[in-house]
Amino acid sequence: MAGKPIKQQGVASLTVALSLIIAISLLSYAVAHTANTEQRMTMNEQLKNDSLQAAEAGLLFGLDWLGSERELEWIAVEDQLLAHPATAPALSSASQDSFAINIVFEARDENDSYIQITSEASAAHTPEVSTRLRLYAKPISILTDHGERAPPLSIAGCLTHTSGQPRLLPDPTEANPVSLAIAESEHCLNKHLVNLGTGEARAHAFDEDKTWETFFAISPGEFQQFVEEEQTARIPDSQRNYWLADSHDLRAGRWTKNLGSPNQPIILVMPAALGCPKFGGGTTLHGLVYIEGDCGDNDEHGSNSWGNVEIYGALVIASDSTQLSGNVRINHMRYARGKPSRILPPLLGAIPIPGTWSDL
Amino acid sequence: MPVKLRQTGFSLTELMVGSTVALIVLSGAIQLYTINIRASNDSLQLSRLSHDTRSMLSIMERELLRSGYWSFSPEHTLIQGNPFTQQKAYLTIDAKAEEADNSCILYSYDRYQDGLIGVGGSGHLTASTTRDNVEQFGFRLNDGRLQMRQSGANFSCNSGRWQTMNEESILIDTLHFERHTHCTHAQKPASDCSDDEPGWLHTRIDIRLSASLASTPNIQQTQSTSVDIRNDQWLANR
Repeated sequence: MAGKPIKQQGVASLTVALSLIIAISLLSYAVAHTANTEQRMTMNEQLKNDSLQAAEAGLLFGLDWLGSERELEWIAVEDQLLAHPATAPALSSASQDSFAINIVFEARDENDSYIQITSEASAAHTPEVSTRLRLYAKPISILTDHGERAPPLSIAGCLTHTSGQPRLLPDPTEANPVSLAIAESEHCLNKHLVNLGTGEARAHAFDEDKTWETFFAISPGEFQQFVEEEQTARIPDSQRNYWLADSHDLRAGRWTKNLGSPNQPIILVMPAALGCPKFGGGTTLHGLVYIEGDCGDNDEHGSNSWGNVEIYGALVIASDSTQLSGNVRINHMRYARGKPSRILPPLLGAIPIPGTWSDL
Repeated sequence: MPVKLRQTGFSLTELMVGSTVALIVLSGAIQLYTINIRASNDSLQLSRLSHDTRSMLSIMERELLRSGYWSFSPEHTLIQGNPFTQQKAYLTIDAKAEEADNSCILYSYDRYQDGLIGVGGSGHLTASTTRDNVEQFGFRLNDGRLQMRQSGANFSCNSGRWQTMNEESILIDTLHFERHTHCTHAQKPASDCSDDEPGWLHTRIDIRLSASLASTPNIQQTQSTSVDIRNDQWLANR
């Protein structure tokens, strides 16, 4: 049955409605697209900031590690030495991404006082976002750099007399090693009184009025606190790091204790009140011995000469010296077992070097 | 049996009433739609302004973090000799003439890692400077624009070539830098500085940035941040 054809009307309305829908759809798409782009830009910026924070955290981790590990395991790569901390923890950020942190220590040689820490944080899900920070740091102990690398014998006054020639062995790895350093001028430096080995004697090597500060990074009072902490903790003599001598340590006015080892040197301070104690026969010390008392008593020189003593490290006399004898042998630490590069007391931490922080 | 339906149209009155109602409804809908579009546009512009303001702050923050950096060679140089933390090269807060106080900051760092301060071709040549590049930077407010220093003979807020960072559609209303310092003893980092002894000067810079849309001044955005300068300044004697 053929019905009557229905005449459809409203083409104009349909066109207008469709146009409106298309226009609204396009506008909505544009808005959504822009918003999405903006959001991605913001998220990337946030991620970049987070990666900076993660790299900063890595630097702090490296700094902390450097301040607690005395001997890093260096690997030679071209003309650099590289080392990694044991583990650097991964970090996650508020943006739900996590960062892998790679930390590297760099030094020119094992003796380097300044070590460069590089911390690189890379986002796990967005690998193109990463930040690399660099910073120089310096591990510190109670000794200054000069103290850790002190020549075998340092004298703040004059060397005017010895009984026989004390033997001094300087650092064999140095190009111009110093065996004897004095704070005074040449006229106080009687080179013929000592056996300088392969090294030289140097006048005006440090400031006489700042002898303690030349070798120690802490004050005498702070050194005493370190000593008291070890005494309070009842640490056995063989494991002590710091020692402030008193009259009970002497036997008939002589020092006879063997202290320190190549890997755990002793920092032995003989205060001024103890005078200039003689060393007993056969004494061996590893570390730095600092004598504050007067060792330049000219009236008694010769009758008060030291006995047989061998020091691996350094001896510092903060006065004139007349009491050294031919039985005294002072060797640089490299002559000790294991050949440590210098006197290595426990680390107190690592300090960042201002002016070296960079993200370039 | 087919029923014959009688088809009738609307009367003129019905059509007019219907059209009027439809027009009222349509005009209301259009108005609502327009308001929505305007609101969404405002929201978009605010979000863009916010994003731009944050980006400008972020750029300033990242740049200022580097202030005072010096390519350090421990075997050749003493860190105390860092030319980038000397008084004239380190952070200076000032203002361009006729602009609000503290609306300009000057700083420098060793971007080209050659150990020397790049002063550009027309800069003043000394033992610690080079004309090979420009490493004297700055940010300033200039007539509603945020600008970054590019070059110039004098390292100041009033001269040299500066590049505008914001788009023309954005007006910078306020740029304010505030400096906070704290000095620690060079040998004892846990202690404050004492007179006549060397120390390290730690610096924090607070930055406040207000911007608005040039076309719609009532759309404004103010953001602030603090930057702890990583590279401290060496003070030999206080």
